[in-house]
Amino acid sequence: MNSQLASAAVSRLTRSIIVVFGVVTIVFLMSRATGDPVSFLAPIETTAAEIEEIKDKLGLNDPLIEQYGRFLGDVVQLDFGTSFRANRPATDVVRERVVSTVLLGVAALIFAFSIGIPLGIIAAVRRGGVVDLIARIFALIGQAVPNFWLGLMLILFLAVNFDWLPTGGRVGNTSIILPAITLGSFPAAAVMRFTRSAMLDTLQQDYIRTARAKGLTEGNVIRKHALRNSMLAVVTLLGLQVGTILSGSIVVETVFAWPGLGRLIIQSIIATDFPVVQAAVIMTSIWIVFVNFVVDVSYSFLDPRIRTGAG
Amino acid sequence: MDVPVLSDPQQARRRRLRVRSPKTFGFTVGFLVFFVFIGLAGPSITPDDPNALNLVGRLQPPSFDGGTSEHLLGTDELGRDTLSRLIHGTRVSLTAIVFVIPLATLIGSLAGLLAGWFGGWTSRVIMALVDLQLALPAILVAVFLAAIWGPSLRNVVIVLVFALWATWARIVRGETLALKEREFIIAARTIGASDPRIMIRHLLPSLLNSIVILATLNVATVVIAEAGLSFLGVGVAQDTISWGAMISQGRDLLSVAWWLVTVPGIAIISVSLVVNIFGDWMRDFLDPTLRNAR
Repeated sequence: MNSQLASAAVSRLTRSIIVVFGVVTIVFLMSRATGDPVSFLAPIETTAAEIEEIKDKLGLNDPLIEQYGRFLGDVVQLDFGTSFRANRPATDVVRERVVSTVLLGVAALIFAFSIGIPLGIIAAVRRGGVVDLIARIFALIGQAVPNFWLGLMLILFLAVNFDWLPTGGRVGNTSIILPAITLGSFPAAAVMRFTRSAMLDTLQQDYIRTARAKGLTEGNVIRKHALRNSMLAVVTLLGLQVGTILSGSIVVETVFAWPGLGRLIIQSIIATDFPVVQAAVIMTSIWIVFVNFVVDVSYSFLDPRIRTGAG
Repeated sequence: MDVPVLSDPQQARRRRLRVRSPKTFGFTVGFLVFFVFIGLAGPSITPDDPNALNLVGRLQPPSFDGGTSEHLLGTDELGRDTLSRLIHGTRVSLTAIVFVIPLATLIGSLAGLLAGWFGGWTSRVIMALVDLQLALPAILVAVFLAAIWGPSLRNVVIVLVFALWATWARIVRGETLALKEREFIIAARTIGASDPRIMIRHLLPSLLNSIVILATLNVATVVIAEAGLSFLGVGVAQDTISWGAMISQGRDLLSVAWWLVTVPGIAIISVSLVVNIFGDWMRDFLDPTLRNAR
C-alpha cells in the first residue's frame, strides 16, 4: 500500500514538473515575442550600432534555442535578471511583495471557509429551509458580482460614506478587512455550494442510515459521520481556490492599493519592467502547482479509496 | 429532523423545479432577447453620441437623483452621456460572448473527446495542457498579451478561450470515458465503425447535453472576465467603450459621482445573474446530474 502511495506521489510530481516546465516555456516565448527590451531601455540618441552591441552583450542575438537554454538555467537559480525600474534583482523585488499577498490570500481563505462551510452544512441539513434559501441566493448573486465592483462598493459605503475602514493601502490592522472580504466572497460562494452538495451526498449514504438506525442522536450522526466524510471533498477545493485567490488578488490589490504581488505585476507591465513580470508570473505559477500537488497527495493520504486510481 | 432518508431526492428535486421553471424561463429569455437587441441595435438607439464631450454639463447625476431628463443616467467627468455609453458597452460584452463561447466549446470538447476516446499519450498530452492552463491564471496571460500587442478585444477573446477550454475538456473526457464502456459503443466498435464515425455519430449526441450546459454556464464568466480585464487596463483598447473600462474610469470619482461605477456594475450583475439562472434552468432541464459541473 505504501509503495503504491509513493508511486502515485511520484507520478503526480512528474506531472507537476512538466507543468512548471510548460509555464516557463510559454513565458519565455511570450517575452521574446514582445520584441527586444533594449530599444525600450536605451536612450533615444543611441545609434543602431550601439543597440546591436548591447544586444550582443546580453545574448539577444544568439539563436532562440540557446537563449532558451540560458533562460532555463537562470530560472532554476531563480535569477530573472535586474528589474529595470528598481535596478535590483527582479527576484528580490518579487519576494518583498509575497508576504502581503500571502497575508491577504490567507485572510480571504479564512473568510471564505468560515462563511462557506457552516452555511453549506446548515443548508444541507435543513434542506429547503430558510438558511438553505438564503445560502442559495447568496451563491447565485456571489457568482454574478465582479469582485472589483464589490470592492469599489465596499469602499463607497464603508470607507467613504461611513469612514469605518481605510479605503486602501496597508496601514494598521483594519486595512486588510475590506480586501479580504472582497477577495474571499467568490470562493465563499464556491465553498458553500460544494459543502452543501458534499453533505447532501453523504447524508444519503447507507452508513448514515445505519448510524441513525442504531440510535445515535441526529447531532452525533451529523458531526461524527456526515461532516467528517464530507470535509474530505472540501479539501480538494482548497487547492483549486488557491489559483482563484492568486488571480483574484491581482484585481483586488489594484482596487485597494494593496502592496502585493498582483499590484506589482500590473505596475511592472505599465512600466515595461519585464524581468519583474517574468519573475512574478513564473513564481506565481510554481506556487499554484505546488499547492495543488500538496493537496492531491494529502488527499490520497486522507482517503484510501483513491490511492489506487492515481495518475 | 426532516431529512428524507427513504424518498428519492432526485425525484423530489425535479418536482420542485417543474413548479418553478416556466416563469423563470419566460423572464430570463425575455431579458436575454432584450440584451441581444440592445447589443445589436446599440449605436442606432443611443440617446446621445457616447463620445460627445460637454464640459459644461459634466458630472450630472441621473435624472432620479436630481439630474435632468436629458441624461437619464447622468454624465461623466467629460460630460458624456452614461446611458449611451452603457448601450455601447453592451456590444463589447456581446462580442466577447459570441467569439469566446463557440471557440472554447469547440476546442475544449474536441480535446476532451480525443483524450477520452484514444486515451494513452493523446490523453496525457491533452491533460498536461489542461494542468498548464490551471497553473497559468488567465489574468497573467492577459497582462502578457497586453504588453506584447497593446490591449484589444482580440486579446480578450484569446485569453478567455485559453482560460475556459479546459472546463469542456475535463468534463467531456470524463463522460467519454464512461460512455466507452456502454453497450452501444462497444457494439459500434464490434461491427467495425471507424473512430471518427463513433465519435461523431455515437459519442457526440450523448455528450451534447453537457456541452450545451457548460456553454450556457460560462457565458456569465465571459461577461465578468471581460469587464475585469478591461477594468485592469489589459482588456479592450483604450478608446473602446466597455462596462469594465467605464468602472475603471469612474473609480477615482467614486465619492463624487456614485453612478459612474454603480450603473455599469449593475449592468454586469444583471446580465450575469440572468444568464446564470437561465443556465441553471437549462442544466436542470437537460441533465440534473451535472449539478456541480461548474
